[in-house]
Amino acid sequence: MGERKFILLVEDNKDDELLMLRALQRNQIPNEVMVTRDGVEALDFLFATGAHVGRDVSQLPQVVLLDLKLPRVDGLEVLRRLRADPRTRLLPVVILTSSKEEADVMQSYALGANSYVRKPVDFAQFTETMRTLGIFWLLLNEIPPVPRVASS
Amino acid sequence: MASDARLGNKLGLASGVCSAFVGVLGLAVLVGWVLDIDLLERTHPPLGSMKPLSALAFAMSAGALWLQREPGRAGRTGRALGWAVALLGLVTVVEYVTGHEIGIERLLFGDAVRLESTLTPGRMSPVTAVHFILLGLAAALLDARAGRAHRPAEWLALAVALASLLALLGYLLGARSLYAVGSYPSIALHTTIGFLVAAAAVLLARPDHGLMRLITSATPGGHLARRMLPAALLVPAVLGLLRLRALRSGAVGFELGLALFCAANIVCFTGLVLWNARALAQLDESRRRAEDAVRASEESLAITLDSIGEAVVSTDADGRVGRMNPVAEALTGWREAEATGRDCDEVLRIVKADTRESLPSPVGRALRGDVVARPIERALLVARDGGEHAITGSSAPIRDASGVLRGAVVVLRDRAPEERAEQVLRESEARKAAVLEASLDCIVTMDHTGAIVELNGAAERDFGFTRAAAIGRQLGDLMIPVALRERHRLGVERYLADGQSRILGRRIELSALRADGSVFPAELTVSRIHSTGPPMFTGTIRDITERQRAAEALQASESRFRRLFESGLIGIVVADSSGVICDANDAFLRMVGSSRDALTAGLLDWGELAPPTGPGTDRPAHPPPGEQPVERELHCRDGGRVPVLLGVTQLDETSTIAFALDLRERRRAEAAIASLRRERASDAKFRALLEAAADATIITDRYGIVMLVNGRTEVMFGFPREEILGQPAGRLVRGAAPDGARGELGSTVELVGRRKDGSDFLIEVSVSPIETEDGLLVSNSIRDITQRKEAEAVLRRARDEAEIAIGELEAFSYSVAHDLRTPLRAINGFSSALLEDWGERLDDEAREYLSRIRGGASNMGQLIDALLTLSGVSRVGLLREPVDLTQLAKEVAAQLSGGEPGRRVDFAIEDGLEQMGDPQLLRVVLENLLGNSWKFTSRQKASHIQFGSAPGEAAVYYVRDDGAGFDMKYADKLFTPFQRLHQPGEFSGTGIGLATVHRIVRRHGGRIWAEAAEDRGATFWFTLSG
Repeated sequence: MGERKFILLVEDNKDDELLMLRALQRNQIPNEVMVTRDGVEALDFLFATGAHVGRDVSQLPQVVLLDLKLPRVDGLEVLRRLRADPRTRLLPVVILTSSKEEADVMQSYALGANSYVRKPVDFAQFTETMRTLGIFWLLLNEIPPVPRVASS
Repeated sequence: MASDARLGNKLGLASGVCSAFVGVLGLAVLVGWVLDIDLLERTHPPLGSMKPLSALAFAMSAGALWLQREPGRAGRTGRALGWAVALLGLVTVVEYVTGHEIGIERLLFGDAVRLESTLTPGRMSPVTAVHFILLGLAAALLDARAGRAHRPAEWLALAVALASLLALLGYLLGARSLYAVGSYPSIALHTTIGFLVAAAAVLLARPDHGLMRLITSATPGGHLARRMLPAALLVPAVLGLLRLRALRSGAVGFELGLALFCAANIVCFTGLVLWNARALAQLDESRRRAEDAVRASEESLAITLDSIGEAVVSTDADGRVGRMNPVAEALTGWREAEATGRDCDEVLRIVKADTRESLPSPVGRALRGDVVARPIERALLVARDGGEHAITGSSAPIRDASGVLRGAVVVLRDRAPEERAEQVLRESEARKAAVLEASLDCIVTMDHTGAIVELNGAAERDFGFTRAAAIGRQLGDLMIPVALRERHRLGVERYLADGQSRILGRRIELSALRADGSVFPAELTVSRIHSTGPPMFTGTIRDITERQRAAEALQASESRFRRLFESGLIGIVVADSSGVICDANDAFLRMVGSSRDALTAGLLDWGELAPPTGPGTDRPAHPPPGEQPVERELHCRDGGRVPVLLGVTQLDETSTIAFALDLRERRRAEAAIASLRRERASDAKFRALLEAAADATIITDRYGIVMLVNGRTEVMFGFPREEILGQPAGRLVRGAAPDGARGELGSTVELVGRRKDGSDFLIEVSVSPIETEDGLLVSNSIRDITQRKEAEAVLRRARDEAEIAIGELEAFSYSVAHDLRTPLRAINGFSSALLEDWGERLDDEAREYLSRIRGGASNMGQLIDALLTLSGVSRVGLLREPVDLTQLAKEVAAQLSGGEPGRRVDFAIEDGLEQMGDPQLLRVVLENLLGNSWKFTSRQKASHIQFGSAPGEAAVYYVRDDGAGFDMKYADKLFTPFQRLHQPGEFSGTGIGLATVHRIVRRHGGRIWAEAAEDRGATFWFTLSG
């Protein structure tokens, strides 16, 4: 992937994935979306391990949209590992989930989530939400420069 | 040059003998002349005759020398005689020289001299006259000196001796020219001998002066001279005579004679020299040894002097300082080197201690031969720097072996250390005396004879006699009662005999005698004073009359107390400050049913026996000492209670003593009387009532003693009535039951009851007072709650299980609710996608259906959210903090108005409403209630919504609207989940909102209710209990 501003979506539900892509599309957000199906895949992608060995680690997404309920490694664990690694410590992560449980919200922010967004059931609201997210994280927000860390 | 004194004496004697010989010779010749005894005049004709004048001169010379044997007054006469002899000689010489005859001979001796056939008859020869001049001068000048060490008398005498020796040799060898001068008369042989002897007498008269001193000295020179001189005089003379005889006899030729003479001389003198050399060598050797010995002796003397603790100064015979030891240097301030040779009195300036006047010089005294070691006392030595030292000392002359005074020695001792020691001793003595006097005990010192040596003021006081009267008296007679005197005497005797004592160093009690004859008990300790000399003893005697009296009083008091303690009438306890009982009598142990073993083991604790009474007080376990005795109950270890009358007093600083009078008998008697009285007086109905009661009922007095029980009690506890009556009710419960009679009247407590067989069971006891004419009684209604407790336990378990199950269920439904949202989102999302992308291809009906699918999914999403909220209300923790309800309501109102800006709704929100509670949950309450009002007023053009509170003890809040309202007959369904009072078409809603509100209000400990009428608005009231 070149010097493009892309989005990493971590979502196991294909329905949600489809709806999200549609919402982005309808909001004229042209950025490429990289989709990973669970926590392990997401981490492999970001740290260029496993199936993604050889990927340029310095190519980080503009924002990670992270579901909490994920197979294998859940969203909170993914977040913890991202924040523990100097390369991804400052990577913007938006929690995008069905839960509005207070414990989940608190824990996410405690682990360093940049934002916590609940997926609305209503598609109109959902589209609106995605639009807002897109504008903010892809257009308005300046991401920090990629730290110079020797890749493993 | 030391001269040999003994030799000197001998020579002096020899001089006297020579003088006497000369005198006798002269006198004998004179007598011979006077009586004309020829033999005396002339010994042998060819040897010449001694003239009378010569004889006279000899006698005068002898007199001169005799008189001058010792230097003294007679010496003057001696010298005059000497001069007279010289004058005689001189006159004779003048006669010969001038040829003029003076005729002294005739003048003196008349015609006797004429018989002489010589030219000058009776006149002595000129040689003789010269001899007499020399001899006379020698005798006259015997003690005169010419220049240093030159004595003319010696030389004169030597000249006489030499001349007469020549004359003698002339006679011996037949050489006339040696004794006669020309035709003048010759000197007679015995005159010659007289001159020789007289010269010897002169020389020997002063053996310690001049040449003679050398000869007589103990030096090797003197030694040598004494050995050689006789040989030097005799050997040549004898050898010469022998040689002459040999020559005259013709047996030996001249040359041979001379050779033999020389050889004999050589042999004699060589032998003599060798003999002397050996003697000298021996002498030198012995002298060297002596010198070594002297040096060693001097060194040891020097070391001795240096190490001696006293100042030692020695002087020579002139009183000049010779040696000083370091102590002397320190004392005087003079260095030995500086002082040596100075006058000793300059170095040792000694003055009288009191008057500072000079004392006679000790050296001077010693040199004058003053008494040896005469002490110097009360004197001060003035040091060189003017400092004064108190000294004692002595001086003595130094004499050598022959008794000659060689000098003096002064020994001085610095008295400063001694004076300090004396001062210390004096002070110590003074202190001891002060202690002795100050002592409260009598202190008496006795010597080995038993006589009193010293006693102090206390002894004077206690024994009643004065020191003056006591000292010197026998202690036994004065201080010891008659009955004990013999023992005292024997004791002292035994100690003196074998050192054994039964008294020394021990404390004994005995009787002592006062001066007035009275006897008092005393405590005595005797110690021996260790000193030189016979032993002395010091006794310390204390009058113990008072002590004995006190001891007796104490004993009496103790025995009284012991009788009381052991009487058994009253319980006596001694407890320490922590409440542990240290001692108790049998009566007390019986009272509380304890054993002495338990007491000894420290198991009895006052705090347990009499625990603090009254709720919430920390009153001491027993009344403070000094208060009036109080009635209390003691808690026995077996659970029984013993009523006692308790008096407490402080025993000492750390312990208290308590007296407990057992009131049980009295209580029983009282109870029996009361019971009798009651039985007579009480209503039969009361008894019937009691018996009919479903609960076991026990009536006690206010001390907890059982007075009445009913049949249920007997059944419940298994005790026959007789065994309970009169006993403490506490026996029927386990452990320390609350004191029903005192503390908790009117209350209900749960206790553990104890049956007769010892088994326990749960009871509930209701305690209520009964005022009777006999005073306060207590009724205890007792219910066996074993079954109830079991049922409660079952119920509690069921509830716990249910709670767990509910918790699990809620967690499950929460999870499910979340998961349900995902498919709803898919339904909604894809319906929307269909509508948006393919809507134009569908007919109206299909679009309608898709819209309904979307709406249904949305509704279900809201429903799930509402359910989640509802479940969250009971699951999340409840905060309690001040919440500004007014502010909260305004925010909600603004939110609602913002959502539908077109509506005209007037919100009236009361100011200053503040409430303790959970802000999040209270927001949910207001959102629901105000939201409902907003919703149900949506059909009207204008509406009013109020939020406020009704005044009262606890605030009652309300939310009021003038909307659709509802029929009050459905009010009971308002707060049930999913219950709706309106058609979904009329007003939207999930049916969960009020259920949620209801639950929040309940969780805040409040209540909620509603008032409403259809189309006339509704009011929801709720309270929150802070």
